[in-house]
Amino acid sequence: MIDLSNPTLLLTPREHFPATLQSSRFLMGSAKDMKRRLKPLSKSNEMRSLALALGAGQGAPDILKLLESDPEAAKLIGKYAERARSSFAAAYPGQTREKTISNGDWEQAGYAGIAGLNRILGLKSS
Amino acid sequence: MKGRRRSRATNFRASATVGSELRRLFPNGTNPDTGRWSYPPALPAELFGAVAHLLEASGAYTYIVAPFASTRGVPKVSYSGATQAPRETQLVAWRRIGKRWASNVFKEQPEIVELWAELWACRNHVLVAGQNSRPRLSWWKSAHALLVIADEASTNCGYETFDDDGADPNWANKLASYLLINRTGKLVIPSSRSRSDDRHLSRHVALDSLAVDASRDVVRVLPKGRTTDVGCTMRTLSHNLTMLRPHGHPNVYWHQQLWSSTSDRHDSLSVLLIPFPYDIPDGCFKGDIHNGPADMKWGRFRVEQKWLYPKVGDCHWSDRSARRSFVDFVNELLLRANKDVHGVVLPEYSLDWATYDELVRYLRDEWPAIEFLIAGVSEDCNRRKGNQVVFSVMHQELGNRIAETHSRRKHHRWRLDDTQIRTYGLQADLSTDCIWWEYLEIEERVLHIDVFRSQSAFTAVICEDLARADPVVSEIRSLGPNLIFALLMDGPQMKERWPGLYATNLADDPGSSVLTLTSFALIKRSNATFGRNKRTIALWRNRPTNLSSRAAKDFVELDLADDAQAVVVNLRSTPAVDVTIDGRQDRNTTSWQFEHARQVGIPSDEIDARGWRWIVPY
Repeated sequence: MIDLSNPTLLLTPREHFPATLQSSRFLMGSAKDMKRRLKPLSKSNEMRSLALALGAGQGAPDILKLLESDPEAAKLIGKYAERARSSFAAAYPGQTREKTISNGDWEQAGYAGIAGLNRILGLKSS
Repeated sequence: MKGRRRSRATNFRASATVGSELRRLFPNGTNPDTGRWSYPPALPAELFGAVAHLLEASGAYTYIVAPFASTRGVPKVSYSGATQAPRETQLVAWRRIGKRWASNVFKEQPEIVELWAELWACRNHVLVAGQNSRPRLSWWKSAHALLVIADEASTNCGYETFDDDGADPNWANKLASYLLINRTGKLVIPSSRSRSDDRHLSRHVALDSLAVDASRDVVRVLPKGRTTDVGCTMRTLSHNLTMLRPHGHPNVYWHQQLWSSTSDRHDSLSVLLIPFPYDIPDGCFKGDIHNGPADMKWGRFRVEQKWLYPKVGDCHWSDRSARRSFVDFVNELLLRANKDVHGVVLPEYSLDWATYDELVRYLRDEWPAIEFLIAGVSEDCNRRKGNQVVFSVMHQELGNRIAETHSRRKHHRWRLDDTQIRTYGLQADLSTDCIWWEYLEIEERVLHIDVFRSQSAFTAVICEDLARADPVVSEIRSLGPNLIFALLMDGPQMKERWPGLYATNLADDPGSSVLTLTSFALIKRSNATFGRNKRTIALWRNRPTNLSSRAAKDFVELDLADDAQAVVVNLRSTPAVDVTIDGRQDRNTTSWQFEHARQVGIPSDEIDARGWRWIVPY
């Protein structure tokens, strides 16, 4: 049985751990170690990656046709996309794509299909 | 006193009802536009989350069985109590509705509206039936019907790609996946060698739930792979979707590639297993003992990766020349493997981040057939130290080959006792007089599932994660990855040892194929202790096929030959059939099966000539 009156048992793990093993080499998850050295993806690379999923930026022509013929479904999907965005951002702050790319930028970069899809869905950006 | 008693009594929460659970699950309503619950959730994953939660929270799923039409009438095996089977015609009808819904999941289906209305009409009914009578509750059947419909409407969910040929009846599911997946972010991992290399990306958070309106704090819904054909759990009631515990228990990320490649059509998979380190010198295990009462002797230990540094000394982090040397060594193994290798796997805690990073960039650029690298490392791309597994999946993006990487920490600390210390000959480093706990901050528990080859998903676990039932094994059972890699720092991988036991459990439920891999170093140390020459570095286990011709390949010990440094394992994907407890078959699943293994060896004189003796010190 653990004796809770023993003060050494009440120390936090780091206090409890001997100073000899507390050099920066041994510590895990310290502020220093957590310093992010990762860089955001360049906008062009991010667009390329996102566009690839939708038929290399053509916006998946078959899907575009289906949505054009069913504006009610397109409206629902657009709302769903907006809710997905806010739900995910709330669950994982700082770890999701917080900046979106406007339809104008999509068009300018040669991905008119993505902008077209967004417009059908009622989205100003994606 | 009386008043006080009454007040206490009124503080008890009223029993949960169907309605209270649905309100908890959808705090903004099942239809967020109206904020009401009387209309069904809009998408299959949302609907599945709702009814799966009700069936599990109430225990109602245990009363569901497959249809049964008696052929003889004796003995009496028909259920007359609360346990009931749907009629065959009902199941067929529910499946048909699900398939129709799959053709456009954003289109309202009148039967679903009707079934939901039946369910919502029971909103004031108690969720859990009384313990004495256990009557069949009226809402169970609607909930089961809706679950079947949502499951059938989600065929191939989580595995879709956008460049399939021809018109796709599943287009709406694909679009929903795209809209979810494009919310997750990627970051560039800078290269220490080339500033312009922006093709090694970190993606640590991916799809964590297909349900957007259902609260993550109650349930999460994700795609799944295999479904076990034994037992009676919620897991055995669906083929395409699975319900997971709330966000944080642990966090599970489903990494789906939305485009296909030529490799998706291959049914063979060759994996190079490198059991590095081949030697762990004395002084790598370091620990300190708790300064407490004499009858409470415990300590903490950590492992220094001295095997990553070619020079004798106390520095244990790899330097640039050591990393280059190691990458050249792996390259030579790949050249000698002769045929295309699709994946490379290294054991628990084998590399540091810098070596891993250099290796993954090299494989990405020089070995286009390689689809993934998995290794145990001591640090990740965020500079978080600790025992963790890193996965990199490689693919083409419009002519550029990209490596996408994520990592996670081990979920349980290794507890070393005197038996293990003696077995591995570590007495010089750690006292046998106390219990040693691995120094490891567990922090957020995460499980990554990676989709590959369009119809398969894999994951990797580290050592203790394979053995401990909670929390990750229960999530693995729900998700059913087709292939599991278990990275170990362990003794020989004999069938009767613990990895064989736990791999068998996962082959049974959920039906995954499991490949364990240990470094050779601790095998070598245990050989020295017991005066033997075991060389079993890996163990393969798949769900028994019940074919006598394959029985010997269902459970295979993989030895490393005396003159070899790696083994190539050849696997083959074969169609499999999974069956749910309500009798629905899924013929669209994949089972990975063992074909054969090949030794890969570099001659001793070449190891000397090319300066690799620090890697292979025997």
